Amino acid sequence: MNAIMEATNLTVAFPGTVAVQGVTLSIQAGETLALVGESGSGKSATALALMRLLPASARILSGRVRFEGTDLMGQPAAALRRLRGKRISMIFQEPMTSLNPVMSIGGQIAEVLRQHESLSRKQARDRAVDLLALVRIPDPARRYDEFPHNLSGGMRQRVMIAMAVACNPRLLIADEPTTALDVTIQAQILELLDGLRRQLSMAVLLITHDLGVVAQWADRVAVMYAGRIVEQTTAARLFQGGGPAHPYTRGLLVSTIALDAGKHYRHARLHEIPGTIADAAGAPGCAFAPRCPGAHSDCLHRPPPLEEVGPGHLAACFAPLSNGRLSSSHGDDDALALG
Amino acid sequence: MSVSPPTLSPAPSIAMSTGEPEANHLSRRRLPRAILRNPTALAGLLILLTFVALAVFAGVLYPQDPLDMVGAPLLWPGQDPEFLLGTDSMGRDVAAGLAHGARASLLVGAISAVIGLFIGTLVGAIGGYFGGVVDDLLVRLTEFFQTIPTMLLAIVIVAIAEPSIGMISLAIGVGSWPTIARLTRAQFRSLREADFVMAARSLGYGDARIIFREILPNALAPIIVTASVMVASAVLTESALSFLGMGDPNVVSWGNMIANGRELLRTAWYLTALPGGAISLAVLSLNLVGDGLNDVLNPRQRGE
Repeated sequence: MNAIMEATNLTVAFPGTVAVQGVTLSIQAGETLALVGESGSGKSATALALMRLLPASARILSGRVRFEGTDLMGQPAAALRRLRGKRISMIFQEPMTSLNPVMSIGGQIAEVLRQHESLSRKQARDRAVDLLALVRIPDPARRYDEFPHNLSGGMRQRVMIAMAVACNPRLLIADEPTTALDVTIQAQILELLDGLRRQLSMAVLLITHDLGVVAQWADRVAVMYAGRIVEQTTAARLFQGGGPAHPYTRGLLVSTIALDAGKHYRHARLHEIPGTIADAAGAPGCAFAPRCPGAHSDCLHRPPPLEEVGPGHLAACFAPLSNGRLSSSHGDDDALALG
Repeated sequence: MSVSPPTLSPAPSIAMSTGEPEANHLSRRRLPRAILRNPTALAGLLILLTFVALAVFAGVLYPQDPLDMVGAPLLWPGQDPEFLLGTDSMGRDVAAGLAHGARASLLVGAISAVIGLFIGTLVGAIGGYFGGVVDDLLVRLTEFFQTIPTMLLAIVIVAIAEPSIGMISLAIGVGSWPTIARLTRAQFRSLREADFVMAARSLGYGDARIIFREILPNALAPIIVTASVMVASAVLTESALSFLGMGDPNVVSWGNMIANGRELLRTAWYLTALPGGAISLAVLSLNLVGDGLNDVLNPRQRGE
């Protein structure tokens, strides 16, 4: 396995806040890495930093991003433009507004092709029709000339995916691709993405806050909290094996509703993580400490480093959990509903 | 933990919603029909097309130079069937003057609007898209030009240079672009944050591409509406210049027809009334077209 994208110690600041703090992350060729976290945890900022697409107000304070062996930080704008859409592409959360409303969907796909490859209009059109078929849009030749407002949200997201994979990228960053869609469409879109990943042998960085999605589609998981990666492991290990090592991940897991566990809010209170993500803003220690059931004095003074707690399992915690349970005396709500 | 989704058929047939409520954007094919359904726009368009036809076929209808003396002076309209709208104090055909004057007026209106649109769109797009120092400088430039009245600027430019159709158009265009620039800038400032612009960046499109292919087509509706009003005010400005004797002396224009008829206002009022009516009608038609386009293109005012 070789990493196609490696971010090292990436720190991104927006005016007034540091959105991403020392994130180190690597994506292997052909895998799906899920980047999980709640709103405001820095997932999207990380993704945009990887593509060097941060808004002008944001600053990359430190860190390196290597993609296929080249350092993206030192690249001129023109070189980055040649990469974007061709070697790395991205799909966004809002399919309703991510397509240009005044251009036909087929035309938009053909544009991408003509931007990165020297194709005639006819060739680009043919390829675009093929791509519409690839993302399973029925009757692609007729759909080519339709405008975005003629399509449903799921269909528009398919068009976005077609544009993103048009030039066979090595890495596809999917920033909450299904959050705006209803659940039945969500599963279809994720299945399509996973199929395309295999078919085109590309890697997928799947940004989500939905652990159900992670469990089903991801090979590896990185959990972000307040701009830092707090845990990184394989999906198999997190959901079937040893379970989470970081209390935040455990908190996320127990606060999901597990259908097969027969739990329901009428039978038992849903678990929640007390407090909000903003509680630790500016604090010197672990950002999760104010909300952590196992926090001790160390946690308040310096942030815990991301260290190996098991094979291929990293966690940033001074008191990592073993088997999803707190090692210390806190055992009050350990009724974990792990599948 | 793992929520398994229902197994899916390989080609899901998601029902296409046919009547989506937010179908704001008129496709190119539906736009003409929407204009035809709008009585205001239709009326304006018909009057305007009549003037355009008159201007285009002026040379065919009245092949003679409209400045030539062709008949007895001061014939009233209807007095001589050869000169349907009469003749002026020099025996020139008023109808021929009106037709050729339409040519001058509409030409100046169109050229100056194109010049104004070009400068205004470019300045507004660049300022609004890039922001920062570039924007600050361009806004100052726009404000500088906005403080100079178009009419005054046109008089100065025409007085310095020679009064030809091209120079008059340029003068009016240079004086009227700030409106377009401010409008375009506002559009670009909001649209540059749009999701599809972010998506375009993620696809590797360059700035020029994003400005002209992604944002501009989406910003066009209010610009087009303003442009039609700009043509109307350019027609007025040109008439005023000609009335003041600062128009092209070799070309008949509605403005100088009024100027020539002014002295005979009490005896031969038709000499001022006819070209005056033509100006009013032309300006009215352009305003009607602008209003109609606004109704058709502006989703917020449509369909209540």
